Amino acid sequence: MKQKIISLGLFVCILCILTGCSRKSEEEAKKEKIFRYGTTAYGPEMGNAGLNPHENYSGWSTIRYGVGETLFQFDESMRLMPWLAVDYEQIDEYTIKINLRENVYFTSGRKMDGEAVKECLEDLIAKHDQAPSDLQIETILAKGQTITLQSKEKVPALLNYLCDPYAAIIDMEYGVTQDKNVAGTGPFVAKKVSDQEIELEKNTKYWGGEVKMDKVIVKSITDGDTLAMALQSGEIDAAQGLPYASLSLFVDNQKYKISSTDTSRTFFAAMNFKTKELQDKNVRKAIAMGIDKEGFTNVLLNGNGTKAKGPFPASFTFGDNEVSALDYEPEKAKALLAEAGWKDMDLDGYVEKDGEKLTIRWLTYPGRQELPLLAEAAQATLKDIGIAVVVNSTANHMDFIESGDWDVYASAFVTAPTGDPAYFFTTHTLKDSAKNRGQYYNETLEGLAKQLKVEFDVRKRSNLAIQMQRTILEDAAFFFASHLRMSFVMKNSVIGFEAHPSDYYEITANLDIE
Amino acid sequence: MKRKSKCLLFSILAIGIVTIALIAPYITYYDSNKQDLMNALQPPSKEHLFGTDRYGRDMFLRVLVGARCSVFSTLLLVFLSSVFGTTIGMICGYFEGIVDTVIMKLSDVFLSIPGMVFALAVAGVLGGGIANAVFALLLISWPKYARLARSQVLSEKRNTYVDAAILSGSNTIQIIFIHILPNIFGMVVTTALLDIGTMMMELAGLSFLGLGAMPPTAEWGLMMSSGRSMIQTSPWVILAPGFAIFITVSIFNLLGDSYRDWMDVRHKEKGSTSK
Repeated sequence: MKQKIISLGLFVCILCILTGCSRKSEEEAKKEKIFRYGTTAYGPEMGNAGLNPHENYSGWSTIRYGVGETLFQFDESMRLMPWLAVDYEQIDEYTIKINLRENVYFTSGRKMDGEAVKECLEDLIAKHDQAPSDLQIETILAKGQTITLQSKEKVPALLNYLCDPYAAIIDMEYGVTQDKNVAGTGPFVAKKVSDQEIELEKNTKYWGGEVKMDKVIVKSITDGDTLAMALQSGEIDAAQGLPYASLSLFVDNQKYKISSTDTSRTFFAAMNFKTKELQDKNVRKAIAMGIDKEGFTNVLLNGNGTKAKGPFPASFTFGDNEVSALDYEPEKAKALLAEAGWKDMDLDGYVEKDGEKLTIRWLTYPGRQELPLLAEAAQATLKDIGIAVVVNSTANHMDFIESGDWDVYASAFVTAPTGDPAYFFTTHTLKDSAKNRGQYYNETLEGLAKQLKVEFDVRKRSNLAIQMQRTILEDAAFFFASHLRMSFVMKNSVIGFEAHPSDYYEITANLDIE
Repeated sequence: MKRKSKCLLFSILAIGIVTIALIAPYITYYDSNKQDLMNALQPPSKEHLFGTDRYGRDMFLRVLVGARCSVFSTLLLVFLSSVFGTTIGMICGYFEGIVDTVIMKLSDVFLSIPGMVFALAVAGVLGGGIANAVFALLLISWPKYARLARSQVLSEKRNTYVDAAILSGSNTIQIIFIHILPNIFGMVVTTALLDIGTMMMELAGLSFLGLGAMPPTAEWGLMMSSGRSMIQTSPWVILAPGFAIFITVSIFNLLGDSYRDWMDVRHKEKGSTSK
């Protein structure tokens, strides 16, 4: 009996000790600050899985999640600011010298100097698909904490291009691991990288000061509704990419707050100039005047965007304040159609010419939740002016683009990712543009583009961009519906997590949980 | 008698639904696809009984008009699969031999693949559209009727009335369709009635996944799918079509059940009188 009492006592003692231990480790865990972030914008579908900036769009993940940094960055007004660089010197129109920040170390332990930056940029030019044609770099000279870049052609927007996430500076000696991890200079170090999740730990030796979070977990949650529920259940602390319809759950809710910003991501449509009916400017104008952009932006996007006139939002000096576009005026649109010879002869509600009904094949894709909404809204309002719209919203939209089976192609595009206007025009509107799907051609525009290519003066570049926008809008070659307003929704306790107009910067050293 | 009246009641309800589906587009006061963004996502009220969706379209109207697409597609699907399957099954059962072996092996192949998965694949290859969805489901549903009809014919054809028909000089087609078919008809109709509910769910399922009806068509599955993200903020957008599916499927299922019960009784009665 005595033995039993002793063993019972011992057992209770051991139990108490063990409970004490576990309580202690629980306390430790509580002290560790963890930020869980759910996003629809990470993963193979977006082309940005992994952290290797020299592969496809993965640089966006390197920069967004605080692993890497670029030489220059944008501030809230999209102005250039030094980041890993301290300043620069334009030696001549082809040569630029960049002075690098002292005392910056990669998370691999190596010092960031001219040689390291040179190695990184050389690898970028050798491997990336877009960077070589943007940067046009011929030689890179490294000396101590400076690098000198010499380009093949005049590249007025070179520094802007160096802000692109593909130009994130990483340690090439450390290289890229099998799971696509890299050593950058940012406030966080990636510990685990997969296509679905990135686990980050704080960089204790970060050059920019104390990093407030101990751990960050970035989760790819592609379904918007799942994301909303994960935030409601507390499984994640913040979310990006919530459906517009779900945002109202978090507005005016004490437990959550929202950080929003206007971006240069624009929802727009290109007209196919190969379609006979669309070669008539009046028909193109009638389409532009037959779509209710305001209703689309205010109701279908729940006000999470601004009505667009041209490709750039009003925050840019060459933005929407400087141009005018056709507004939603159904009666005028009908008159334009009548002028072009399209009339409803058989009173079926649709206009005809030479016995043929005016039918528009509207091609778009469901990957961006806004696009099918735009298609369905346009289908209804264009019906009112007598145009029949057949919507084809499909993930394999590129096949249809190639086969030419479309009349209007609606898509989303970041029109000025580097803060410079040239990008949109060179990619979408010129004779040789890779994304000029509708084969639009205007000689005046080509001439203006040539001037823009070699112009260094920022104000003159702006003026040229304004003239170019007026040209394409006058031709009604494109129709710009709305600029996206991007929102991060987070628990009220999260601080330092702000949406940035460039859409590049998300997790920074300032991120904290109270 | 009680069973007969039960069956009658559900038949009336089912006919009611079919009638609504038939006349809905003509009794409604305006176009169900007409958008009115100013009135988007209004909760149910006197003006809009089931509220409005995100495009400001009246949900009551769309549920009514949606009945046409949902109910008629289902009825067409069940009709086609039962007629096609039964014809094939009767031919197999009557002739047996090599034709029977080949067709039954083929139906085994169709039955061995999970139905919805196969339908998804077919609809995926053919692309969206309600006609393609009906075709996809037709492909997976005919073997059931073929098997049923075959087994029934195999037992029926040994009956003396078939010998009598042969002796009286009827040709094969007459024997199959005039003499045998009426004797297995009840069984096929029961199966078809019980199938309506399942098929309606599967069709709505395909539409929900974006492989059936295409916007702006009012179709219940599609309406639920497009209202999915609003279940917390504007639940009427998903509840109205969901409720319509629930009611319709229940009525057709109960009709099938009561018809089967009634047929069972009749069979027993027949059996006892013949004894």
